[in-house]
Amino acid sequence: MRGSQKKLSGAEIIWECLIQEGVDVVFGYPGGAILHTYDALNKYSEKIHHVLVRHEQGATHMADGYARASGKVGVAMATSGPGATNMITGMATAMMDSSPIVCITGQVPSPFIGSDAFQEIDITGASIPVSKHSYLVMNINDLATTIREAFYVARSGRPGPVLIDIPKDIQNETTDFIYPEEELNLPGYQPPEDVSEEYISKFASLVNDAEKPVILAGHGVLLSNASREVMELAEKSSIPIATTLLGIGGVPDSHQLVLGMMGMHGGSWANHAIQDADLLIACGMRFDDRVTGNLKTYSPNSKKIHIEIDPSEINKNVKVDLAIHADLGTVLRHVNPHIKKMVRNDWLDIISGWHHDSKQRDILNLKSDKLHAAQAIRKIWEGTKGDALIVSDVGQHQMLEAQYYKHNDPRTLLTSGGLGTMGFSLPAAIGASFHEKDRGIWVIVGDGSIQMTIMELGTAIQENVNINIAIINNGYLGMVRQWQQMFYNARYVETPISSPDYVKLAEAYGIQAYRVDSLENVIPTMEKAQKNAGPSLIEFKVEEHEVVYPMVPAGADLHDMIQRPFSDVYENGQIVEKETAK
Amino acid sequence: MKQTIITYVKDEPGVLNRIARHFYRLNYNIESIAAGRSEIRGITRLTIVCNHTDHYNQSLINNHLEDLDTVLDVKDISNVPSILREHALVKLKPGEKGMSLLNDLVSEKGVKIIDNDNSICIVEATGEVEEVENLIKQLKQFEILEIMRSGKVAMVKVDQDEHRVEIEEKKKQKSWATQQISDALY
Repeated sequence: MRGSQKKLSGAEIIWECLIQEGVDVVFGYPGGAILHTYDALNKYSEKIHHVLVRHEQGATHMADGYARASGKVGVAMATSGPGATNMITGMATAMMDSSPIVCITGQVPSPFIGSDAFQEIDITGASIPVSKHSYLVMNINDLATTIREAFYVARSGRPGPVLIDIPKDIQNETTDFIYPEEELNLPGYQPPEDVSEEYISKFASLVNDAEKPVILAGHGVLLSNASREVMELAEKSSIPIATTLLGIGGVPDSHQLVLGMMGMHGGSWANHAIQDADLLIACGMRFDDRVTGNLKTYSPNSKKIHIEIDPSEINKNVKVDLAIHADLGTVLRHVNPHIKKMVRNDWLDIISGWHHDSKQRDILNLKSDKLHAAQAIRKIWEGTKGDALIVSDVGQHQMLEAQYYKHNDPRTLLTSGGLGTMGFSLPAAIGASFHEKDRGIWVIVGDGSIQMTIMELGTAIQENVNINIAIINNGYLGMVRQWQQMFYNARYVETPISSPDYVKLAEAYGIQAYRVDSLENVIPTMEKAQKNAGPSLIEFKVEEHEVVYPMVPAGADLHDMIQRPFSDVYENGQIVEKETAK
Repeated sequence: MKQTIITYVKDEPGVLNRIARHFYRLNYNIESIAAGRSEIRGITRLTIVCNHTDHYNQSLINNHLEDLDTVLDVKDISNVPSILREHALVKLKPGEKGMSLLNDLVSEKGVKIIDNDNSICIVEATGEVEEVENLIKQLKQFEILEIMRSGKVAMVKVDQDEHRVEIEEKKKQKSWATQQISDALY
């Protein structure tokens, strides 16, 4: 490409640049202000596959799902005005979860900007709080450099969404196109590259001197591809690891040092370990309030090391003793050789004592003919041999998935953590399916969440993507109902929610669908669904009043968890046999 | 094209953001912005200088700003005879030879040396915008380490008082905006 000059339109330049960035799939929806670009797609359709979505929010979630599954930048495209504003939620979701996506929007012709023209909205302005950066391209000669810069900003440092707004006349103008290869000029944006020796030796001595350390593994472990380095640190120094919701999969759940998820619905043993620790090693996580509980009493006796690529996260919620602003993998590769081999049996024994108590209270012990959400999800884990790519939505099923589906590989759980965007899972799974061809893909979604983006069933069947949708239907907005039960005297205001007949609905779309209401039918039905080449849907009719335990009420101390009462599972020391018939 | 605007705004968080977004929306670049307390308690006065391309609708930015609840008044004074002044601090290294040159500037042009330590000094220049511009040009013969300019501050000349911004009056007229619109219609 270097040196070769071509006369191209702005629209063609957009596709040329996307190809240069390695993009092979774009999720979008055409409209007036982006029509030139769609027209030019005709010429590039062999190199780039376009997925026609049903709603632009879906396009952003698909780009997000694709980005999370692949580690590459996802691309979403929409027209001006409503097309652009529909992308806001998806951008905010990607922003909160550091997912690299580039959103390209058409804009009204440049002379009309600011005049409230038809379908005009100041999307670069509106997207400021929900994007890492946004561009309005007012000169065709800036277009290629802007796209290149946008991809760089989206994927480097702490990844995030970037928006490029391109007026219609700029898409139609022509210019001599040379792909810009000179270094980008971004004086205000310099992701860190190296770590100083001083920090490395401080880090190592803190770890070597600690008696009760805990590693907190966040999304950064995945984004930095640092799973191996984290495990090496943990194994060498015998340090238990608790993960955040988005950190799940970064370390193998089946490993004896991995405690599972921490925080509001995390394992009580993980939370106790954090509260009791004398050293926390925070790896690419941001001490979100769902993870810390009450900050005043958070892990009071520990020293804290924080390795984080985004300096604005350091000392934001939790004051730390050693902050390292750098890429996690790089830091650990430097630190690991200085870590002494250690066995910390006393510390690990204390933690497994806490673990034992929780195991006894586990809902899995309940013998009942009714299907419980937790049990259904555990069966999905068994039925997929723990090897599927799971995309969970937001609510009780999301927390139960995090507790009962054990992930051993990075990028096998995609979920909206920071923003908690209901409706994320179905489109994100469609997006992920364009990268993940080897694993089965399972959407685990509640009856509330699925109805927020259910129109994307149309996209799923039009593209015939191979995904399995498991709707956990309890007839309630379950997590909200749980809060009403616990904190609002069980006044269930506006949480009972009706559902369509999902089986009929799916069939209307041409999707294979099944319904399951007993535990023993879960796996046989899954097997049927997995045999379909295209999308399939299973509705799980589950117990309505299930509660996710343990729970740290918002703002409470992390060790102050509400545990599942023994009476839920045991009566007089015996496992409860609950109603055998409905 | 450059445009100079004086606005009176409520002194509260976010007000700058609300104003700036209108410039951004129209793809105008704000060249300088000077803000400070005004003669009225709780009201900040701004002088904004922006530049933009030619397809510019003179009244657009004024109307957008007028529309804001936090903005009490807007006046485009680009074509009104006004006092436009600026204040600049320049940190420089005059060098051994340069010291006498700098002293000449001090005596002739009203530049002040307000901080001096070894070979580095901070020079203050203040006056009409062009004067400051010229002084900075002349100072560039020395090694300059830092420049901080206050941005243009503006006030309409006394004999142009019909253009004066009068907030108190407007505050008394409860529905002055409606009044203005009906004036324009009939």
